Amino acid sequence: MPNNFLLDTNILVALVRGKLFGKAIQKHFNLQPVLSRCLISVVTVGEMEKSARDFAWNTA
Amino acid sequence: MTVTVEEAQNYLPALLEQMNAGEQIVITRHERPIAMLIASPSSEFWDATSHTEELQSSPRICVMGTLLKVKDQAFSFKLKDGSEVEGLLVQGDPSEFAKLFGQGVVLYGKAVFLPTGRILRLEADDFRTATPNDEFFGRLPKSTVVPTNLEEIGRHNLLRLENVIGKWPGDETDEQVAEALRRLS
Repeated sequence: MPNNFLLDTNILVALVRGKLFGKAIQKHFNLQPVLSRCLISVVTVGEMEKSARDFAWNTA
Repeated sequence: MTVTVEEAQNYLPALLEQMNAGEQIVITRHERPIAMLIASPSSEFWDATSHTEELQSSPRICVMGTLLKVKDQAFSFKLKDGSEVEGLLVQGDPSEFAKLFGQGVVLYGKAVFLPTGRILRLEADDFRTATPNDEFFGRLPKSTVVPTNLEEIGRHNLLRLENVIGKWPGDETDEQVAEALRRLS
């Protein structure tokens, strides 16, 4: 199993939502010990910012 | 040849001609050398340096050293600090290059660095006999490659993923999130 992961947006979303799918990913890839080293691309950063605006999180 | 700043300002075109003819021109202020006119490398040198991506991965260099070993196009090059670098003549006549064995040489070309920042090899595409004034070029430039050490980044990363897992800030349903992801793709 690799030590470093580049997380795509849907995987990041699943992890942050913390539901069954996210927990299954965490367990399957044994992500817990390497969470601080996981990478995301700038595209994912952009997609998360767009989603945050669409969900109007900043207006709460 | 030594000229003052004022003379350099007044006679620059003539000085450039003399420089192209092989004259070394040192510019002085208050009788102290402050600058030197050096003939430019070939136009290919500057064309290549305009490619930013190439510059980042394998920067153009001009470096002086001693040619220690030459075999066909491969060579060893001793730098001013005593370190040795392997190199490859990628352009030019290897037999002319070999004549400079044991001599001070100025190389133009690329420095190929490892991801760790260490020099891997030189790729020379132009060369000339060094002069004492070329001491300035006695050191290799440092690698522009920033070593990636995820362990180190992880240690200092305050925005840790484990701190946000399970902490989705909104109240969106799975269907709404899935639809948002679909719109993004």
